[in-house]
Amino acid sequence: MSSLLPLPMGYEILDILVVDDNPTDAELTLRALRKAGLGQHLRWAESGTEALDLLRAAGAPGAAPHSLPRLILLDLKMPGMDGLEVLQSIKSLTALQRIPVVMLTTSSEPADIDRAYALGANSFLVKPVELRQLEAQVVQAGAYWMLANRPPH
Amino acid sequence: MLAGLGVAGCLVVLSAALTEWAALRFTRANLEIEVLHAELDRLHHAQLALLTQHGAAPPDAQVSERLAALAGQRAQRDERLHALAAATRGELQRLQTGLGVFLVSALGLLAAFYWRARQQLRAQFTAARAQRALNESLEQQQRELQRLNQELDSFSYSVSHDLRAPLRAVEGYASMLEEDHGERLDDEGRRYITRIREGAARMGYLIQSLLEFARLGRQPLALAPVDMAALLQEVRSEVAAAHRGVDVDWQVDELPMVDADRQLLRQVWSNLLDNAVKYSSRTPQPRIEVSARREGAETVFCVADNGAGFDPRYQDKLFKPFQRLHSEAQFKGTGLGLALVQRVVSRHGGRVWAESSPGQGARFQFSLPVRP
Repeated sequence: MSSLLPLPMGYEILDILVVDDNPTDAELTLRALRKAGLGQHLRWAESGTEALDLLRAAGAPGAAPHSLPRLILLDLKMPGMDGLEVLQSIKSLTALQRIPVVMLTTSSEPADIDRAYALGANSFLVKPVELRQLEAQVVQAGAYWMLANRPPH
Repeated sequence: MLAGLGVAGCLVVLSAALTEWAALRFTRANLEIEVLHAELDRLHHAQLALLTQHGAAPPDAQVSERLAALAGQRAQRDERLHALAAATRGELQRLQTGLGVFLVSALGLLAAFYWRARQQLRAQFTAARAQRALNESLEQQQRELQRLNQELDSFSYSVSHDLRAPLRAVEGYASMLEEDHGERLDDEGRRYITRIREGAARMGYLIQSLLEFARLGRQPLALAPVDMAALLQEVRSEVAAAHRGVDVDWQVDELPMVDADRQLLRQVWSNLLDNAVKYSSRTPQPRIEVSARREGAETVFCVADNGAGFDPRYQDKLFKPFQRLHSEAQFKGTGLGLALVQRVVSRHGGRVWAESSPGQGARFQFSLPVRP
């Protein structure tokens, strides 16, 4: 797990968790979010297992407050545990299931889209090739889920 | 087969009854003959007795009379016996002939039935075997198709995922270089970056089109009544919005309802109208006509423009993927639009064709079968 911003001791504030096995894609996504000023606290998990370990620890009773992310950007095709498995685990855990999960992937296959929604994905975005478009997309999704959307209590 | 067995059974019963009847008749005739023989014997004995009684002495008139009467009776009986024997023989012969004819025709009939049943069975058997072979080959083809489809699926998956990821790296880092370090480069350096970004973006667009094109062939058709006039109106406003600044004089005739996949037909119109606007954008007064007509069991739709047109020599290249008749610098495009049009139209059971000459505009037509 790589923390891009230093956190004060004892605090584990997390706004957005980006799960992507591709370091390039992760860097582009994180850059877009930072550039838009969305989420002071971003994390990158480079595998499904790493993401789930982080989330389970943050959601466990007694964990520091605000340590659960307010938004998860999840890649679909990853070696080992893929995005759909991660999604399924998140949506089956009471502590995690209310966190909005946005699939951010290169696949535009209708079958993938259907499967992701069937497993409870909150939205499905196809990564564009162009950085400007990717930035616009990531920022829109972040703004919607972090600022505009009212989560259940 | 059952009918044949029934007929054979009937024949056996019938011939048995006939034989029984004939046997009965001959028994009766034989009995009668025996009775006549016995009577003749009796008359013979009576004659002999009379002769012996009177010895060689000349018979008196009474005896002679009785003898003559006996002889007459005997002759009469004899004659009857002969007649009866002859009649019996004749009848026997006729019966034999009749029975023969009957048996032969019965056998013939049976043979015919057997032959027919055999032919039918053989035909059924052959048909069943052919059907089985056909089913097997169909199943095999289906398995092969499924396998190919899966291969295609994983191919497009890897195209969409594995090829686009490095492309995003190229485009992304070139963009970041431009944004973060652009001022440290001179104009030429910045131009190179722009070229890199344009190339990557175009390749991304091509990959996307290719994926859509591949998906078109697999996706099942969702046929429903489509209001072509409304669909065309929708597509027209989209195309007009994409080519702001091109003032086209549109002339759209009445268009009928068709049974088709609306999403796919939308792609057909979108490509045809986009081409029409694109290739007539350099004409002083662009004019595009859309019309429809009924031709037999088909409805033919036509999009005609007064734009750049194309060389009819390369007409067969027009609908092939990645074949372009104009350079990218002249008119932008992926080279997939018309291939996509053809794929959609042919999946609907229709045809697509075009006619033109350079500078004279182009007419693109496609037909859709009218479903009863």
